[in-house]
Amino acid sequence: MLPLDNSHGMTNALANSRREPNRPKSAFAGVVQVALSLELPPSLGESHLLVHATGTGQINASANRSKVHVHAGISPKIQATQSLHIRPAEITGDSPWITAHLTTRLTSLQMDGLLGRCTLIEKIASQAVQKRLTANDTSLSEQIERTVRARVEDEGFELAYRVNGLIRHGLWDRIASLDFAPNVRLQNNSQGIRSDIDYTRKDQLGALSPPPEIPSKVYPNLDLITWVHESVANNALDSLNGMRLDEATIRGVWRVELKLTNDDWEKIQPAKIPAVITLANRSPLTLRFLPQSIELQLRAAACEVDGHVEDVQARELRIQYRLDEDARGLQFARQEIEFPESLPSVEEAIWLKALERFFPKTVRPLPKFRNTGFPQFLRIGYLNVSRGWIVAGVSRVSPSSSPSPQVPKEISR
Amino acid sequence: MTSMNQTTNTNFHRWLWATCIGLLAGPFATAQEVNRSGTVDLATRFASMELLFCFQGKGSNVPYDGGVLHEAYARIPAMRAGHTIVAGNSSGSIPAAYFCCFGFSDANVRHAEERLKHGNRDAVRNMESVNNKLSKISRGKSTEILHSELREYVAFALGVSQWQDAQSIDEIVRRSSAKPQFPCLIVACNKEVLEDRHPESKSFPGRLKEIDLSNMQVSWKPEVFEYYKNHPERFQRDHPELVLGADRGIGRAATFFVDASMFDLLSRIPANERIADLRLMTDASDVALAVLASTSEPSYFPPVVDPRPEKILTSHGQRILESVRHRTYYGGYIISMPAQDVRRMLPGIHVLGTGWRHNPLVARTLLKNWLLADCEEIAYLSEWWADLEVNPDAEFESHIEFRDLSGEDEYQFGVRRAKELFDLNIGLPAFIKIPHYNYPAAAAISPVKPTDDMFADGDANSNHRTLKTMRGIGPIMQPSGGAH
Repeated sequence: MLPLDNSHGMTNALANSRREPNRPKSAFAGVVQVALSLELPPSLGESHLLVHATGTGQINASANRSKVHVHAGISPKIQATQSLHIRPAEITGDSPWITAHLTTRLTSLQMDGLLGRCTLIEKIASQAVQKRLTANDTSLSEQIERTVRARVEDEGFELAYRVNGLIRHGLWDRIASLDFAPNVRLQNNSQGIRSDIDYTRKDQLGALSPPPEIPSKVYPNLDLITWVHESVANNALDSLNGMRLDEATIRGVWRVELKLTNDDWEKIQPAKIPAVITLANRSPLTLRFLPQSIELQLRAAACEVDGHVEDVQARELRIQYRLDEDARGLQFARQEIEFPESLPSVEEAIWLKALERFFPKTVRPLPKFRNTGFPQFLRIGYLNVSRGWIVAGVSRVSPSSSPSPQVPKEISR
Repeated sequence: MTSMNQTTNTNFHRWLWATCIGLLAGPFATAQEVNRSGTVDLATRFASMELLFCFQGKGSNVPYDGGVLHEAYARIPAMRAGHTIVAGNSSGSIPAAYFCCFGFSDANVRHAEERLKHGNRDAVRNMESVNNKLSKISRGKSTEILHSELREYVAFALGVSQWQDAQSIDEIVRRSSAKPQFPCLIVACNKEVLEDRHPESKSFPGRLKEIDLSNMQVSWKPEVFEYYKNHPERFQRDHPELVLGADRGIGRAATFFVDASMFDLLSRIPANERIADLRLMTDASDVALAVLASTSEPSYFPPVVDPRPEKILTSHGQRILESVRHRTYYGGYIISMPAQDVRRMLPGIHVLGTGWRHNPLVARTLLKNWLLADCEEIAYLSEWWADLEVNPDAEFESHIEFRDLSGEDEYQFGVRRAKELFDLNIGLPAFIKIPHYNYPAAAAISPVKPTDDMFADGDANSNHRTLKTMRGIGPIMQPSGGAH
């Protein structure tokens, strides 16, 4: 709704008239209601958005000369389209196409003094003033156009950035914060906007198999689907060589980035000093997405627990999370942490104490969460791990129900 | 002034002393001059202090803090008795400034709750929208909004009721007769000291500086300092806002805006142990500056230049303009809980915070690349000092980014969360780290009412007995409910 109030556009037309002390020379007030709709025409290499706006409204205009007071109703009809092009690195917009047609209807004419009693004079004056009001339609329509243009541009760009934000915040920025510049392609297809992102440097491998299909009955219920190949994680994780990872940062990755949580994290607990693991200088982390499980190979050089640097050797170890389901729904359950080489029991206990702070026994999807781009609460509505890929589908939570996530058949067996 | 010191035993005299310091220091006082007022018996004024109440900023979510204030005031007699020091950062600087000028009383707390609940924050909320921000940045538009959008809140802090027709903050300051009269501390970070962008490409981190988190001292990396020492013309070109000193030191990362009494108190901490420069507030313009300096977070408002840098006490009496060409403030986000120096001087007080919102990984990384300091590392160290922090629950967190709660709703969230945590007498961040200076300062003032939980278990004869923190606020809370 665009509120309109006293404007200079009308003022100019009657600028020569003398003003009565208590009556403004001219004024208009009213609202124009603008409805926006979105169109996604098929496109390749970019996402093309058309933001359409239609507006109608009612504006009450009045003009006052020394002895003549005119009131008119103006009905604007507006149509506008903003064309936006979302490319990986930029969002551009064509100049909005916009028209505003105004229909002016004289609602009352009042003339003070003797002149006002003469019908003929009233008619002549009426025509003259109406002509002037009509002349003012141009400036008024220009003003309405300017206002609608600003609204369509602002809303359009905000929408475009909301779309782009899902890609940028959801994936791109997180990887880029590790000094990694991903290659991104966008397209519109019959199912929505699709973004393909390669997280590979020239000397790195990417996915060698296509992403798994989503069951057709699940697809319509999902608002955002992300397919991630294990090479994405592994290529990015290469940049963590020698890095000190603390427990707080990793908990942030679990909860904020992956939307997974552990029951203990949701309770009020005493504060603690984050444990720290220093990663090895070469290939510190390798992820494998196996059928219904995720395996992490970790090469750690040192660790700190409760602020103490522990006396441990550099070690390689393996952590596996199985995707399974219990009465509360889907969860990732950690198996025993394995050390391929034997190590003293005291050292093993220290490593386990540190690692359990990073890798809890179970993590499960947050019951609901909110993300940039979606004002509604969201939930993970579909989760699958298969042949090098992990697939997560997100759907909006209806206020009344919160069904458990869809689990692929393999889990139920 | 000396004769007054000999008779300061009543609250009235304490108040009068603070007022006199404020008046005498006046608009011409410099940091060094007021520091010489140290003959005052600080112990008399501060030994009865029981609480440091920190309004921890959470963007535009000021009504939440109003709710926490309501519950705290009802339950903590020290707030009504004038035994409370107030602190604030970011948007929390607004109520902190108000209570600095007017003190805690039934009427003032009610008024503050109303203003925090019903103040118009539309402009800030619109600016906070992530998509709106990205959209603007990409189109080369500024995301910062004008300081004048804070007129209503600055007017509240300064006790100006007729603010609607004031076009600027300066105009509101002119209409105010407020002065900082009650112990207060407001945090702002020092832009010139912290900024660490690459000299040839401002969008990349420079990685030229390093920060010592024990005292927040920022220095040039040794190799960078050596290079600039040998290439002064290059230094001038790369860092026109800085002066290359005789050693690697650049300055402190943060400034505490303080009233005269806190200036005196905190300046007794040895310069190499204090975590911030001290900026004296003596009049309404200083208080307004403190609010603007603390709320002007990166991307929220433009940074604020200090028009009177002579009121800053740096280290070793060094004058501020010997290290920077001007002093610019860039928000109070840097220290989430500004309690270290206060508790070290007043080991008997308890520390209560209205709750902090931690930065997600991306924002944390961006801020670190831009302004050197890892705000989360500092938050771990700062929040070690909290006895209780009314951190928002997950449900409130889920509303923050979307700004979809009314002021009344947010206020009720604050009341409910404070009730819950006060009843449990627990409320802490998930993670903390132990700061280096975790023991009382040499000049610490013993409390009138010592408690048996002042120190952590350990060697009672040690010169550096570790202070106990994260204790809850049981000893200063009345059993339940309250008169408010």
